[in-house]
Amino acid sequence: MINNVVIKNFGNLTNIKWQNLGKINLIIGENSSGKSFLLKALYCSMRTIEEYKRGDDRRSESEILLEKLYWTFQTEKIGDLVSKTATDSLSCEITFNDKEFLYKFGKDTTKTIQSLTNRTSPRSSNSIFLPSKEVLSIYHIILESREKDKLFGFDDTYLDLVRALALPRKGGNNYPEFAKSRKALEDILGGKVEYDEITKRWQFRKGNQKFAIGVTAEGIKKIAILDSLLANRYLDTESIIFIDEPESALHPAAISKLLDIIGVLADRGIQFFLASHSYFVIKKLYLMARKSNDTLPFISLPNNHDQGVEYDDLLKGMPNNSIINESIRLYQEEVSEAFE
Amino acid sequence: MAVTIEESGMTFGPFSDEQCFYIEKSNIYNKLQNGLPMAEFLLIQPDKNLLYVVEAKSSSPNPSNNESQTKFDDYIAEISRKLLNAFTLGLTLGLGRYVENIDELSNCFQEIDYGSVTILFLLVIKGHKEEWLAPLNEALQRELKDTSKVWRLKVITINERTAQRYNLIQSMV
Repeated sequence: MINNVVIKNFGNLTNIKWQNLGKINLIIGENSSGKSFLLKALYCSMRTIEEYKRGDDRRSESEILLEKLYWTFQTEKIGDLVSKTATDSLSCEITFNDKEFLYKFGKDTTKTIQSLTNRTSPRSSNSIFLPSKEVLSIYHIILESREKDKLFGFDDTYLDLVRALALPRKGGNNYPEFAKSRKALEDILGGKVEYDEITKRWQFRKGNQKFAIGVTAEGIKKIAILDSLLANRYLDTESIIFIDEPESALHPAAISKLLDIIGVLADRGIQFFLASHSYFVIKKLYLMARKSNDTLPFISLPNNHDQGVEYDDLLKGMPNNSIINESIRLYQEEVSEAFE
Repeated sequence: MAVTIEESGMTFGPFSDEQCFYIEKSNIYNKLQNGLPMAEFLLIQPDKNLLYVVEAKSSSPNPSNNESQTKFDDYIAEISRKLLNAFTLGLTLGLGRYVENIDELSNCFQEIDYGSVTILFLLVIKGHKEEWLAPLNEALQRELKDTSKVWRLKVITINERTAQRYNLIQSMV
């Protein structure tokens, strides 16, 4: 698991030092505060660690990372990722299973990462990034755009997810917790989402009825993605899952159920990083932390990073954050309206 | 004459006795009580065209597990009954259903225009933070949804600070 993260001058993440991470970790903040950016930064490091020395891949860590950063952030040159106001290099250090993975580069970097230290061991597990939008109904468009046309638009988080979903489902016994989670996911779905090998399309099956994935609710498609990755064993108990806005397109009741499933998977070993600006997500995670008495670290990113980044633990209480403040403000507005 | 009402560690008022119907001290309540759940008082603020039905509490259960969830649900249900009973008691007196007690209700209550007055069911909980009050407010509004719809009334949960802001409390015990 990722133990610590130290980031400097990475886009609008000018100074991040997030330590003692847990099984589930939460990133909160307003729009444009850098939540997705931080998730993607962590994802790029993890995929570099995971792709290095896998199979017959001869690429160096630097080559893998350069490619990953380029296709994930899709800037003209990766030097553009360095904070505009920074005088120093960008640096990103993660401690993974207590071992260091660190890289640095400056604003002029185009083709070579200046400095990279990797003390982690090669691993066979996979991490995945679940973007806020579902991918099943645009599955072929993503593949064509990226693999055939080599165009910017869908970043590597989308392409990697589509490729992971393309792996066939495996039979045999899955981890009991995964099987239980899949059952719970299917209960939320009220049916099954499957890939039809004949039509080469995803479809939603409810009883004997089949529906094209395009007319299936967005929330169902999001839940189905997690279900498929558990079914085809792309994910295992050492995986890390990065989820951007788990709340998008989901009813608050479904958010709660999804987070309960995440709790079960986290107990089995999967580490989660969730970026959210939903009151329901934060409140549910806070209750989960209290119930399990487990640490649930969060980082609260301000819009202006000069205002300071807040690090704390949901086990200790709800964050003092604009998302929470807004729910109280709505209550205050209702009180004022009632007395008028 | 001025009325002050001490309940749940808070002192409501002073209110003009014309504008306040202190239910607990009324003859009609003493006649009816026998376990009848009842909110503390009714209040009219003519300048704001507001009729309050007020219940005061010093605590609320935390619905963090199944057992306390039941306690929480019971708590909300009990407060709803109290507020509704107090409201209907005021109305029934005004309608003259208890001829011998009709004088208990001041002219202010008899003369108010019930067609236009804003009716506010108010739960005041001492010492509660606003982040605790918001979900309580939602729960009470959900419980009183039908009443709220039929009578076109509002339901609000506040703490003593907000009650002070709206001149319902002048000092704390």
